[in-house]
Amino acid sequence: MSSLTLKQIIDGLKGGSFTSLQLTKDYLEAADKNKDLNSYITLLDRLALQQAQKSDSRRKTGKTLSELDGVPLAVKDNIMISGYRTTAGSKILEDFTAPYDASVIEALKKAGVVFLGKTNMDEFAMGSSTETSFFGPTKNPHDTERVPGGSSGGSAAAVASHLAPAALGSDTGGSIRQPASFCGVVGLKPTYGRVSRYGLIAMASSLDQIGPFGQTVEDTAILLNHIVGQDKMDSTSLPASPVSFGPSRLGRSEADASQGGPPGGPKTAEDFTGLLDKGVKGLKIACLKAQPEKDDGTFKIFHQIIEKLKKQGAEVIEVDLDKLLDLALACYYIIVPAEVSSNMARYDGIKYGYSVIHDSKFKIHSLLDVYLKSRAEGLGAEVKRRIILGTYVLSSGYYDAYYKSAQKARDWIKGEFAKIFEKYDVILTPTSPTVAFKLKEKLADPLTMYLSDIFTVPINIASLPAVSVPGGKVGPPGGEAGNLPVGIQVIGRELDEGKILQVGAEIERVR
Amino acid sequence: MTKISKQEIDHLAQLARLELSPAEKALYRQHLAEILGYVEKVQKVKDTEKTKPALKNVVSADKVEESKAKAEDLLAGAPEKQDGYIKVRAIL
Repeated sequence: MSSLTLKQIIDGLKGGSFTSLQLTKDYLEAADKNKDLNSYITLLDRLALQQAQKSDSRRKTGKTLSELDGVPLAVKDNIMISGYRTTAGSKILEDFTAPYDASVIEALKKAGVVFLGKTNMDEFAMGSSTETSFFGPTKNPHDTERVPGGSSGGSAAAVASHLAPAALGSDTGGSIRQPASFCGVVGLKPTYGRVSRYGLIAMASSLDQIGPFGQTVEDTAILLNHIVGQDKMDSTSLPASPVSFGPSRLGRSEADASQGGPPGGPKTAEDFTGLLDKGVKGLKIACLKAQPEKDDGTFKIFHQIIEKLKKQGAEVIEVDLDKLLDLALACYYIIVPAEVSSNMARYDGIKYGYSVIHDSKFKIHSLLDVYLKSRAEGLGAEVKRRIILGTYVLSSGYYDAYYKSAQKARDWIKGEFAKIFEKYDVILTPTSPTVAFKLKEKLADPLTMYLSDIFTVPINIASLPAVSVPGGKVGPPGGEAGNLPVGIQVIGRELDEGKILQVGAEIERVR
Repeated sequence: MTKISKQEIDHLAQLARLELSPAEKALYRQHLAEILGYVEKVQKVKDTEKTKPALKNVVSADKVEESKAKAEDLLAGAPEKQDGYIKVRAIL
């Protein structure tokens, strides 16, 4: 039962093939049996079973809340569920209890969703391998000596190994797409502002975005339908109705399109599953022009997918993105540490989280000691590195040279993407230049780790939506044939999630 | 290549309210130099005409509303508190 897709679960619950309680028990049992993968930080057994029972009684009386009523989901551990521990993968929040629900959680609770547990992640989402988690690394289900990617590695691994049918993650520079690619599942980063971030623990606020993981493109589209929308608690969130492309392209009435409302409200303006069967005939696709010196098989699969899309009638043209990608990565590693250093200031040993005040190991003489030592003790190496780097680029004398220059570069990058989208519907790249790397392979060398995000980071810089869809598998050198997944990234115009999911669904069919 | 002196790393740690061990300081001096060396290419970007203003103000009505979180839950995580306040060490 546990290898079912979200869509199959929705249909199965509706048709009475199984109950939410049976399903939930199955997933919790599977999660318990596969503890070695370390995909969950906290399993929410009691909450999940309770929610499942309630859902089953609602269904008996014909009062289901939505199509997702009784559907179990996993949630990345930087998204708050009221009354339960939320750690963000950090020691400093090891014992932190969420005081309220994130808006996405509120919306999914109203839809009747069952929460299985909170998934592992790089500390405060800073990392590309889930190795910086205070709770130990998650392992890649396809090869347990390799990383699942990151930072949402726990969510990706849980979905890939059927410990949850789908999951929520967050993506600041690839943290949904890259682990989706490494684990062979679908991961979508919506347009910046599509999904409310109220109750998401902030990393880099001008880039952070919540999005869905699923086994299929359709599953991520279904989940997206339930979490988009404007939220007064997040001033950067956007209205549900599409702005950049008209309702006619989805075949909806104007009346539908004008209905906004809170996330997860009775009717959002858009159905992201609407274009999935439309194919790619006549679409104009820009694809990354790249001949890497070394290819582990990623680019071979990328080019095979391109050829298959051409056969289906897409017009595919190679575009040189080298300068754009290179500059975007540099820009990212200025903006992110800058925003991190500011966002992390709230962890001070005073308001909540780990504090040295009650730790007998420490002698505290002043308020300053509380700050210095609580942060030193509670935060991990990558977080500290980014705080120091961010403090540097924001400090007087360096602000113009780094932070201000990065903002200029960001404008330039947005402009370059806009130019490409004047001519093309979507852009294709591999999600990551390589398949999943080995545990500890890049941990000691931050710059090499950062470079593995070269294809995903620019999308956040430009606020665009992108989805990673499995394109095939390759074998490690000298290893088992074809067990390591390769993800294909489809990038779209702002608010054009429908189009990237349409192309993603075609990749799924032809691969 | 940008070099980060020992004094600079001390100053940054102080600004960031972060106590660093000598080993951490040495490591971060090296990493900062490497990362700054990589990212300084952004300085070559010339002024661009903005396609559209990236920022706008979003304000909400000046109206008291029920909070989604209760004060006692928000205070529950504070290590030292008294009478509904968070307690800190005297700074004067």
